[in-house]
Amino acid sequence: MSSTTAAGSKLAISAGVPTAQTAAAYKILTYTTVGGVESIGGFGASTEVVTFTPLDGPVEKYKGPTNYGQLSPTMKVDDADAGQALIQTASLPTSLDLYAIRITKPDGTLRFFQGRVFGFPETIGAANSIITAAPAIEINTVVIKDVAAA
Amino acid sequence: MATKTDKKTHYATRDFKDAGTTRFFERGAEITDASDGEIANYVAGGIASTDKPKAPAEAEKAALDATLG
Repeated sequence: MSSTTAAGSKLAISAGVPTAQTAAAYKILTYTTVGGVESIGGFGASTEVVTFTPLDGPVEKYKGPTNYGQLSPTMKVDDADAGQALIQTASLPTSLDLYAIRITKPDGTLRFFQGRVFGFPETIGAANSIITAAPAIEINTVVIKDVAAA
Repeated sequence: MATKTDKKTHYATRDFKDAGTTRFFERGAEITDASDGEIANYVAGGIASTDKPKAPAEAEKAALDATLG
């Protein structure tokens, strides 16, 4: 994929989860698009650096546990939006379920993963700004990349 | 004669719109022409139910009756 702007990217969520960590398994789920998204933000796994410092040598670095990361998209709050309604339900303290997330890039390539939503904090700023929310989605699985068009 | 199916009728529990399909559902409206997966997501989000929501005046009366006994 060549360089592109983020315009046209989409965020969608499903109450169902795939039976396998494959693009095919994610693709058969039905997703509800989240409306009013301003930015999707960064996401992806990172592995903790574990160090050992010997008495007579340089610091040695090892790979520790992997954290699949988090996603914190920003969106204008719209209580009538079906996708946001599902995220808000997922963010309730009583909701322990995993949800499948699909991100569609402008060229149709897809990213899939599962996560739990830990909050739906709203931001009310100045009079000349829109009330926004930035749900905290913690990713629990590897991010599956699918290059085929949606 | 129409074939009877086990598929339950779902209703919008409040006004909502789906940004993906661009469809809008009014509170109390029957959700038609939606896939099982779409409805499952709506139900999970609390915006659809097999219980038809009461009209606002009716809901208000029911709440008042419940309060007053």
